[in-house]
Amino acid sequence: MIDFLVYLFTIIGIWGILALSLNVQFGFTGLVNLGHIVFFMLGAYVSAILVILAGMPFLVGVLGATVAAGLFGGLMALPTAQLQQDYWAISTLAAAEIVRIFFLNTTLGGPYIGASFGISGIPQPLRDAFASPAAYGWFYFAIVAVALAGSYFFVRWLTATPFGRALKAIREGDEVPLALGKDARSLRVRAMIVGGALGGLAGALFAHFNAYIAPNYFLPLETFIVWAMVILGGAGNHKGVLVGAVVIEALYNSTRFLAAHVGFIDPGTLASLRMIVIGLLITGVVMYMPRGLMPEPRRRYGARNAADGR
Amino acid sequence: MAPETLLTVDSLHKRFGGVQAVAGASFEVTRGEIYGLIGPNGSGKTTVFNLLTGFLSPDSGSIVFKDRSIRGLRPHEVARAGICRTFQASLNPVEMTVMENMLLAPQGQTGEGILRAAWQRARVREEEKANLERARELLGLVRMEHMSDELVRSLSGGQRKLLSLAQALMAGPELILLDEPVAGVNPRLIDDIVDLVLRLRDEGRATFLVVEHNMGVVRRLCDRISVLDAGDTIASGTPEETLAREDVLRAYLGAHRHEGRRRAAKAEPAGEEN
Repeated sequence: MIDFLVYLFTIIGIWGILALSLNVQFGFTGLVNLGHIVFFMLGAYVSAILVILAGMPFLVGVLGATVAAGLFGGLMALPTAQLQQDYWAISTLAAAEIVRIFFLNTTLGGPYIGASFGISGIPQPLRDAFASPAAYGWFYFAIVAVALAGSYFFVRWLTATPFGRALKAIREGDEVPLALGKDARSLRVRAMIVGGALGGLAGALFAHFNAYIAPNYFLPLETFIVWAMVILGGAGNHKGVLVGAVVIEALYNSTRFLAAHVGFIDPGTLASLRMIVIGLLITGVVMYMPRGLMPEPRRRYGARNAADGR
Repeated sequence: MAPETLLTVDSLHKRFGGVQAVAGASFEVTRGEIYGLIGPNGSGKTTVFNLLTGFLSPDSGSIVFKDRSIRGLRPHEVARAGICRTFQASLNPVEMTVMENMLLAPQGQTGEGILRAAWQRARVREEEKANLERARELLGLVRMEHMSDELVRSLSGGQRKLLSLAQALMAGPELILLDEPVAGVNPRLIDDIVDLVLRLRDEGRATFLVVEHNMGVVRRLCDRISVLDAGDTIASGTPEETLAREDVLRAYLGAHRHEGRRRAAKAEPAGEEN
């Protein structure tokens, strides 16, 4: 039980970083990114390739994954940053599928590495220093917790800067920010870089945690799981999307438990039912709490002399 | 002090498909004045604003601001060059507070770059503090200081107009383009806005180019005006003499419209058409 909880919270931490990164793009900048999983996938692949094929240490792999996914985010936005929101959304979905299909059809460093075989045996940092898998589980959970905390404080700081304010302004249309001299296109590109980099970090952490990745881990469905977290928790609220990550991942992983307790439903049906439950939950939230469980907080500056102007 | 020409618009043309929206608009705005742009609905006033601010690019004609052509610049580049505009209908982000909208306006904020925000935190803090003070002062001018933490969503149409005016002032440009600044504002507030703009002009804080339908306001506010009809400037001068001209009246009444858009009214004496 405790091992499962450690596993669950490690997964929640990894997906929490992914939810934070989508929140920067959608919650703050209004970018409807339907291909968000591409950053997670790139992060996972780049780190695995750097560590396995190039023999780099874990930290270099994670850093490389973060940089590569961030650059890809910028690259995705460069030709499309002027598109209308719905066309933009389609282009992101396409970009993610292009990358997935590329990895699905490309072998890496040998006939049985990459392509549909995926990459197995991804090394886990300091694995040999721990006697039991359970103890290692705690260690990796600590790594993820540190990364999550770092990401959380980073996005919280970033969105409170004048840069974050400009992002929020383009969320509702370009006209006013443009009339005030803000380069909306450049802001969108930079939001994609930041969100992409964080998504890459999450992907790298996932690759080394799971020790195995394959293209079918990164189907468009996974993007919608991240979206469910953001919408449920509250777009524009960092804590909210983390709550969303907890709820969605808990539901998603609940079948391992429930299967033992609800014997009258077979596990296969149960696994499908959890997606229905998530779907109903999202429908309910959108209808009755459109701003999510934790709506975006309002920044108050107060009356004259009451605030320090931070 | 010799009057300095701030903005020169010459023979501007813009066509949308089969509609010639702007056809030869020309005028000059002198530094320190309030210049009015009037004309019937559909005469191309807002299109001229869009052409001046880079939201649209002209088919032909020239736009010179401070001796430099700004034709072809992108909207944010025009803003950085020193021209700030407001919009006819408020387009301000409604999920942000009044104060956040105000703080958005200042140009060249250090904290708008991620790296600069990280390395120059003290400077960002200082700028924010100074901007906050100025924003409070400007919100005081438009009597909205008490609303600074309200979401724009909860503001009335008139209040949003005031916010965009304050925001334009906050941006601190040399030329402010006001698109119908008093439309939908209650009469008492209209007087306030007129007084405020006049005062800002007197203090030399900015030059204004104003599109407005309220002729009472135009007479009180504007030093000079141009009348647009079917995209062309048909008359220019002080409000009194221009608004008294018969061709201007006819443009407003629309009598010559049936004659096509040949701009006959411009050259010929009154009474020729119809």
